[in-house]
Order: sequence, then C-alpha cells, then structure tokens
Amino acid sequence: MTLAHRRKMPSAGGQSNWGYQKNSMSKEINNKVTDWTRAHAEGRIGRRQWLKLMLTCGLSLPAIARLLESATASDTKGLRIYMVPKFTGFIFFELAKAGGEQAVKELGATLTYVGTTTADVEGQVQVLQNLIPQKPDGIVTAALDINAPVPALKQARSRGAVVVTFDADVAEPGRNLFVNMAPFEIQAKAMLECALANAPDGGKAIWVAPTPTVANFISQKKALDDQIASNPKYKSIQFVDTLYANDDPDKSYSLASSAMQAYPDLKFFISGSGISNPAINKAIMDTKRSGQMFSTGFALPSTMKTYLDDGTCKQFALWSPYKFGYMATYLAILLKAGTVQNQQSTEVDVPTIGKRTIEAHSTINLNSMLFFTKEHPDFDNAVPANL
Amino acid sequence: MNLRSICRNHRWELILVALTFVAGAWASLLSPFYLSLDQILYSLQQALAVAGLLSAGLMTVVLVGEIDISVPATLAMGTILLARLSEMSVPLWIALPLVVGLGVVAGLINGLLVVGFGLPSLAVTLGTMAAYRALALLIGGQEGHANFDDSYLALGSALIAGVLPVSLILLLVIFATFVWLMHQTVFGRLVYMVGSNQVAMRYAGVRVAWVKVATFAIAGALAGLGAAVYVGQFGSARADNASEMLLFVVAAVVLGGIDIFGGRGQVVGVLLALLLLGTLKNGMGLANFPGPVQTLIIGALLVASVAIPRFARLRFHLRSADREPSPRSSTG
Repeated sequence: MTLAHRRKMPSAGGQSNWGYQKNSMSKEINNKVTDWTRAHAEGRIGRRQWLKLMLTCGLSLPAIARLLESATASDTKGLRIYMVPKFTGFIFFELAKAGGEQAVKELGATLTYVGTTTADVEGQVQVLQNLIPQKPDGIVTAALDINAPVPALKQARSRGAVVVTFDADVAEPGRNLFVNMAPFEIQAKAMLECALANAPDGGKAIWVAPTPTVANFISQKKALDDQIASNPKYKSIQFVDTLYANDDPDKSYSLASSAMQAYPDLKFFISGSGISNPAINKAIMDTKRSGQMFSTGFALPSTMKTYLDDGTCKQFALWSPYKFGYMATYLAILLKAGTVQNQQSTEVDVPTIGKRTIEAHSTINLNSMLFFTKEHPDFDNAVPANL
Repeated sequence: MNLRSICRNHRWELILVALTFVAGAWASLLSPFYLSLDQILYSLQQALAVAGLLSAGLMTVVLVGEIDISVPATLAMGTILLARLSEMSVPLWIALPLVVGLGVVAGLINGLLVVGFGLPSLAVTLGTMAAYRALALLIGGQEGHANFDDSYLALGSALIAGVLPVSLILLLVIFATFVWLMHQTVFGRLVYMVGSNQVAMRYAGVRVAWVKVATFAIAGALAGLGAAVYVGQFGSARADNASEMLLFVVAAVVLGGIDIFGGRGQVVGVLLALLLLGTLKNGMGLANFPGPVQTLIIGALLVASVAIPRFARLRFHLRSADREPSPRSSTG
C-alpha cells in the first residue's frame, strides 16, 4: 500500500482545497510528507506522531484529513478477482483457492472461483470468455494451454482486467504477470535431490509428464537435462524414456507398470505431476518393487503418506499450493490497485512469503520448495529446501 | 402443411425452442451480463462453432445407424496439418481444401473398415481415434503451434460488422445445406432408409455400403472444416485439440432428437439442441456456477432428453392401444 500514497499525493495535491498550499510547499517538504505518510501506513510511526509532523509542515487540518482518508481508504477494497484453476475438485487447486481467499480477505477484495471439472482446454477458454462481460478487476489462472486462452485473456485485459498466471503460464500477450513456483533450475535440483535421497547411487530414470505440450513440464525436463549434464552431483542419474500419463492416476499406474517390465534395471520414475507420483508409487508397492525402484519428484503430501510410511518413497518435494494461490491473488490485487508496478526488478514484500523480485518477462518466483519425508510428511512440518 | 401438422411433426423441435427461450430467460435472471447481443453471439461462437460442425458430421453417421467417435481426433490432425502448412507459407486457398481432404480420407478409412469388414463402427472409430491422435502427435511434435498466418485465423475469429462471427454464419450455412441434403435429396432419403432398415434396403437393391461410407466421409470433411475454425478461434494447434469435445457433440446429436439407432430425427433439431446447450453453458458460465454443477445440469438434461420421449411414447402407445396405430412422423 505504500506506493499508493506516493502515487496519490500528486493527484491529491491537484485538488482545490489545498492546491494553494501545494504552491507554497517546497518540494522538500512535499517529499517529507510522502515519506512520513508512508512510514505511518507501514506502522513505523504512530498516528499521533504523524499528525504532529504534518502540523509542523504547515499543512492545514482539511489537508491532513484528506491525506488521512487516502491513507486509510484502500485502493484494493471491493476489487473483483476471479480464479480459474486448470480444473476444479483437485486438492492442489482447492488449496490454491484457500490461499486466494486469504489474500482477498486481507485486502478487502472478493474472489470467485470457477472452472471446469476436467482438464478441458476449450472448456477453460469458455470459462475465461464468460468472465469478459463481467469486467473483472483481476483474473488469476493456471492455464491448460500456452496459446489457446490468449485471445480471451487479451480481451479481458483490454477491458481493464489484470491477468496473473500461476503454476502454468500463457504466452506473454495474454497476461500481466506469471507467478512461477520456482526457477526451473531449482525445481530440477529439488527433483534430483529427492531422487538421490531415495537411491544415493543414482541409476536409470523415466520422466513422466501429462502430455507432450504442457509448458512447465517441457521446461522442467530441459532443466533436469541441463543439471545432469552440468552438475557432477547428478551425473549418476540418466533418463532413458518419457511417459505421457495425462495427469491421470489409472494411466500413470498402467504405463508405469509396463515400463517396469520394459526396464527391469530402472531406478527412478521422476515426475512433476502430483497425480502421477502417488499412482506410480502404488504400482511399485503392488508389484513388490519397493526399494528397487522409486517414484519421486513433486506430489501432494496427502496423497503420499502411505508410501512415505512404508518406505516405498523416501523423499519428494513440492511448493505450497496455498501460498501459490495466495501470492498470485495478492499480486493481482496490488497490480490492479497500482500499488505494485509491473516492472523488471521491482521488489514486492509478500506477507508470509517474503521479498520477491519481478524478473524478465514479468515473471516472479514463489520459490519456496519443501521436502517431505517420513518424519516430515505434512505442509506444516515439511523441510524447507535449501537449493 | 398447416400449423397443426407442423406442431405434431415437430413436437421435439418446438420443445427445444421453448427450452432455449426458458434457458435464455433464466440466464438473464442469473446474470445481468447475459442480455447483450455481442456477448451472446461471441459466447455461442465459442461454444458451438467447432462443436456444431462436428455435431453435423456425427449426426449424418448416426442417422445411417452407425457412430463415429473419431471426429475430434480427425479435427486434431487437421489443426496440426494447418499449423504445418502455415509454417510452410502455403496460401489458405490451398491449405483449406487439403485439410478438408485429409478429413475425407480419415472418414473414408473409417467407413471402409466398417462396411468392408463388417466391423462395429464403435470399435473401428475407437481404434482410429487413437490412431489419428497418434498421427497428429507424430506430425505435430511435442509443442503447441501458435504462429499462424493471419489468413488462417479468419474463418474462426473474423467478425462481420464487429459483432457477427463468420464461424456462426458458416455453421448456419452448413446446417441449411444439411436440411436440404437430408430432407430434400435422394441421398438424404437413402440415409434415413438405410438407418431404419438396412436389410430391407439391401434387398431393394440400394448400395447400403456406399451410403454408409459417404456419411463417414462427410463427417470427416466437417471435422477438417472444424479444424480450420478451431485454429482461428483459439489461435493454436495441438495434438490433443478437442479431446474433451466428444461428450458435448454426442449430447447435441442425442438431445437434437436423432435416434441413436439411426433412421429418425430432424437436422434442425440438432441445431436447436446446440443453441440450447450453448445458451445454458453461457448463462451458467456468466453466473459463475461451479464446474461440477454445470456438468451435472447438462448431464441431467441429456438423460431427460433420452428418457422423456421414451416415456411419452410409452404413454401414447398405452392410450392408443385400442385405437388406430400411431403415425410415424419423424423422417421428415
């Protein structure tokens, strides 16, 4: 909210009842007023002290009242944010929704959560298209396709919506900001660390992705390959095949079962899919290959408890979907309110997450990877990864 | 034809029209944003332009007593082919016939497998569905394609006078053609007759096999055309395009009053069913109904559309059991 005041000051200064003071007020005093007001808003100085400072600057009471009003009336009040997940009913996005709801609660905005029941690209585009006439202030979405939602999102943006993507991005013209879980390099390291935590000597690995075209899975695989090629620590892991399991438990189970027979000396299934990992762990358990082969990468802790408990999986990783939804929604609101400028190297302090910087191509990283093990199986006791 | 006979012969279609108006009224109550011409047209285009073309194709196949569930996969092959052609800077007037031709070939393969070996069309097209998707994946590679030449996008995205989507006009033209083809031509008669009793038609010297193959080819051609609309609408092509569209397409055909066993139903019914489904989706979408509720309502409507006519017919038969036999009315 701090920048809002800086933005508001000149406009307030243009208004008639303290316009005369603007002329008499030197630039220096003006800057001081801004700084103090900011300090007051951030809670660094109390209201009484701030009032005293204002009075010593020679501001009249009506002028101070006006300042006070702009300081307390938040720009974020009543903003209408819509969250469109990849599909509804999946715990990951339900947690993201809970995070989004927390963000709108803190900032006085509203959140509407709407999406299709299946991973349906055309359906998601229709959901987004149905938002356009409602003139949303912000759309927070995890896209099923890089390109298909772009025309609809462009229209929404041209009508004033701020579009923030999280988890899965769209092409740049379709959005203002992309909240990435972590740089792909960090994600790749997290997955490889988990692989080595399961089997320290490395071995043959199969990559499991939903379809060949989901953007972040393509980037994850590339980063994995880069890490294995460049980092001697991970040299012992070699990818021998890729499976496309469509984020579907049955398909993951059956594809993995066949792959286990095709590659008897296989050591790892590595996947960024939170649906594939538990299913493959079940396949490993069912075929009594626990300890011989491991399925790791990213997964939701609630789905992996059984396998952590019996040692089928020793470690896997994830970021917090709750914080993911929180950060994306929080930033959508602040961008719409104008309190955060969408520029490279702008630093934003996101509550409970920390200071994050907007990088090239309007990307910002959530960057809080968590490791889950038998002793630390839940979001609230997981081990923050240091990568 | 007087008003009364229209009412009697088109009872189902009139019910669909009434339901569409009810759905429209409901939508405008649900959301203040519904009643706006450009909103309605744009939304219908999003929901129907591609699915409508596939529905017209599937309808033809269902009328002849078969089914083709590979049409969405054929469409995906088409979008990938268009992407490749656009990358090679092939002009649209060559690319469009090529992609429709690809659809025809895909349809012919389905049709020939069905009639040539006497295989059930559900099994054949289930197989070719997977095969066509795999082909799309092989040609299209792992990435989505988005760098289309602007001319390729016109069919799916251009607006006449800023509001009227070209793709909706195309859909109406296609359906007008089908009303003529199915209800006014010899071919149309043959389709209905083969659908209601193919054994009798075979004895009557009708080349049943060729009628069937032709309907599969038509479905393929429309899937090819659908591909051209698809790339315009979404600006992208991917091997898994339209993978979730089959349910909607089958829903439109069944809700449109086409007998799933062939031989009965009106072309215009399918168009009306599309409008009804599109209006419902639009209204519920604008009112931000949660996804599961939307799916539930459409699903319930589908079951009702199959069940209600059956119950109505049953009652009709019970009541008129001792009177004259009921007239068969729906072959147009």
